[in-house]
Amino acid sequence: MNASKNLLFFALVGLSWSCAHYTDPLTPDEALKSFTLSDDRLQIEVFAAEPHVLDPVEMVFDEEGNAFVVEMPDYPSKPEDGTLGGAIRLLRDTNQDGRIDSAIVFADNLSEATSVLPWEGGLLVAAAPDILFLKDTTGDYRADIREVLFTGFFANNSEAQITNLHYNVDNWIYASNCGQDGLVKFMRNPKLPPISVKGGDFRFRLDRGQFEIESSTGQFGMSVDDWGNRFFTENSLHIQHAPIAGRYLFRHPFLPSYDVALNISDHDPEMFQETPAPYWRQERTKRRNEQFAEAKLDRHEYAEDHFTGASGGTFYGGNLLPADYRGSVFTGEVAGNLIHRDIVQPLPNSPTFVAKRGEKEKTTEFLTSSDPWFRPAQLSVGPNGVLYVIDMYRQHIETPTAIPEDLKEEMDFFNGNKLGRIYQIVPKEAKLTHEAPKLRSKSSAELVALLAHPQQWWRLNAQRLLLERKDKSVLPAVTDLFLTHADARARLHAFFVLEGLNALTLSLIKKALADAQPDLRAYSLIEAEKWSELLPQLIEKTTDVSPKVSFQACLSLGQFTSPSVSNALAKALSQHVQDKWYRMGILSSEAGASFTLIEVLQREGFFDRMIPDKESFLNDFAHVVRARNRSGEVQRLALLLKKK
Amino acid sequence: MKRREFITIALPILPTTAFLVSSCQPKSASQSETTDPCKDFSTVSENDLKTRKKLGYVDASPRAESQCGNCNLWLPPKDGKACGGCMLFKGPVQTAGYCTYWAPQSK
Repeated sequence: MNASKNLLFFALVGLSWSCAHYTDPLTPDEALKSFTLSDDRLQIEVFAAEPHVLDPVEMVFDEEGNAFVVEMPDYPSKPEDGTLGGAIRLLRDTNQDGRIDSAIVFADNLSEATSVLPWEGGLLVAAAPDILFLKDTTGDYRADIREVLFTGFFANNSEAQITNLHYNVDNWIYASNCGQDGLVKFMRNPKLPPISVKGGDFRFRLDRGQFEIESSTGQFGMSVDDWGNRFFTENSLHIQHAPIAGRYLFRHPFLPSYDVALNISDHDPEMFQETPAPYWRQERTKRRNEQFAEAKLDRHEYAEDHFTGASGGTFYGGNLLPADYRGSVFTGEVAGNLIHRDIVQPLPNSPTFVAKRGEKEKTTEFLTSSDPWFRPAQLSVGPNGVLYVIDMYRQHIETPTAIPEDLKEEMDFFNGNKLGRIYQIVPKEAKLTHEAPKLRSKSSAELVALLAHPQQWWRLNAQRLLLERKDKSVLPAVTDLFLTHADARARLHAFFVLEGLNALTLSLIKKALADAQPDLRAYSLIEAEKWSELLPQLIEKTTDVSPKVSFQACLSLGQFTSPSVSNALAKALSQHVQDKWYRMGILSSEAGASFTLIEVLQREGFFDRMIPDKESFLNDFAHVVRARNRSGEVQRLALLLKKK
Repeated sequence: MKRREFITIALPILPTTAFLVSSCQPKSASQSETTDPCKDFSTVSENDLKTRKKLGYVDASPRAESQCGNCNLWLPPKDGKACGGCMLFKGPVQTAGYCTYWAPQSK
């Protein structure tokens, strides 16, 4: 680092806050030396640093290849004078050398913006209590349109607010709400009644004016795989999945439980950090453990080497990293100063997943740092397949109210709020392309071809733009892609372009129901719900070899009420009673919680040999019966069960 | 388990979720706030009340499976006491409560 850069760095940092317990910050180039990558085929480089980026918590690339960064300098508390420091910056690499050399403030004065999503030439912004739409219409890269789309989200804790905006392959936009309470109103149609998002996340479609609670409870980090499966990050629980979507789970209010957040990690809670726990954490944990012992509680808290600050789970849908990384989920751990990697696989006999460590990462992490300031809050995958690490770079990350007063005396929670780093992880010898995608200048036919691109970023953005254009001239080409392409991912994107353009026909859905790829079959079942003439096919799919498909068939069947539905659900329950998700998913529907279903089970001898899973289903069924309190049902159930 | 055994166990099950309790069992006078020791903040400092608010504490968790009662920082009621507490702030805490700092219990 030359002298002028040294001066600039220390000017930005301001006074050194060094004390016996906490270290000083490193320069970006010094910080590079603190990293250890578990794979020597890879290297990490600086992509952006202060002063071009400060306190970054997310970076996304719009369809043109512009990198937008969300900055959160107001963490962990908003200034008392009412000013708002939250901003979104557009980063520029003017000399095309792969390192950011300038930045434009796209929007500022934002209240706790944590996530953005490119949309219709602007950005959707999650900024509790709102989701905003910001757009520049003058060409100066400064947002001059500011529209509140949704309002009413919880806004009292910056670590648990509306965030993680993701456009998914099913044409819905998903956001994490951490299960917080809130009555959410859609400002483009204020006559619609507000919806409660308490206990769930949120999803919406602006093209159809739809919005609803979703069943997951993500905090900061949502990874969406090639098939649209969502995995979410939540502090100690670094990777979770919600097997039942909200539109099914909340069909009636009588289930004994609505919790579908499943920790899919098979290696919790251990992580392998290089940094020792900071003094405040060591001391606080010691005190807490003393309290546990004093209260004779069989509990323990760990100051280090256990997940506690998992953040920013990100699916790697690129193809730049070696093939063994494709489909991995990368998650930052801001307390352990590391990046963890999961290999996520579908379970063979249940509609969910397991997340495993890689073979070379059984006792180490994908990336560790010896610098306690390294705060990998989020990751991002660029159009060129680069894996980016969004490093907030702070001395402390923790809710101040959770730290004893005496320990806070030597802590400055804003130390580092003039710093920020973004790194890129690439293969050694990789020849990176810095050519901007410029998708807006492409013809609709070119966008159709991109639905089959090997990288997720291109497929999703092409799909999004095709729906934005509403150009129906592409329908023959998209239909052909759906019917003939060898890559199931291309067929899936084509299927949902057709869905988004209202061009899915009965024959196309039938074709999708017979697709070789289970996820595509499962999505086609959701579409089949709109066609009563497809009920026989829905029933047939309850016996599909793929649990993903047979489970979705059970959920979709629950949208119907004919006696044949209860019959099919009873058979599916008999076959899958040992799986919690089938029991819960079936019971979430009117037909699955009906006496017709119980009578079928009785006839089929389901109750002749009771096992704990059958008892569990009956317990839950009885709960539903009591809760809905329909005349005579309790007695009816008792009589039914007494029959020989 | 035999069917008869099941009936005796399953049918008396009371709804457990907060909304069911509130809809099926109207509050009795004994549960009113004025006499509920779990709502008595007379001995709690302003600072602790602020901390409670900052952490987003609510008496009824928005997430049924994440409640104070199964949080790692939960302090169960001591002998003879009606309500528990929390390691993060002073004052009474409801078993069914919640704050944004909730963490699963570990051993």
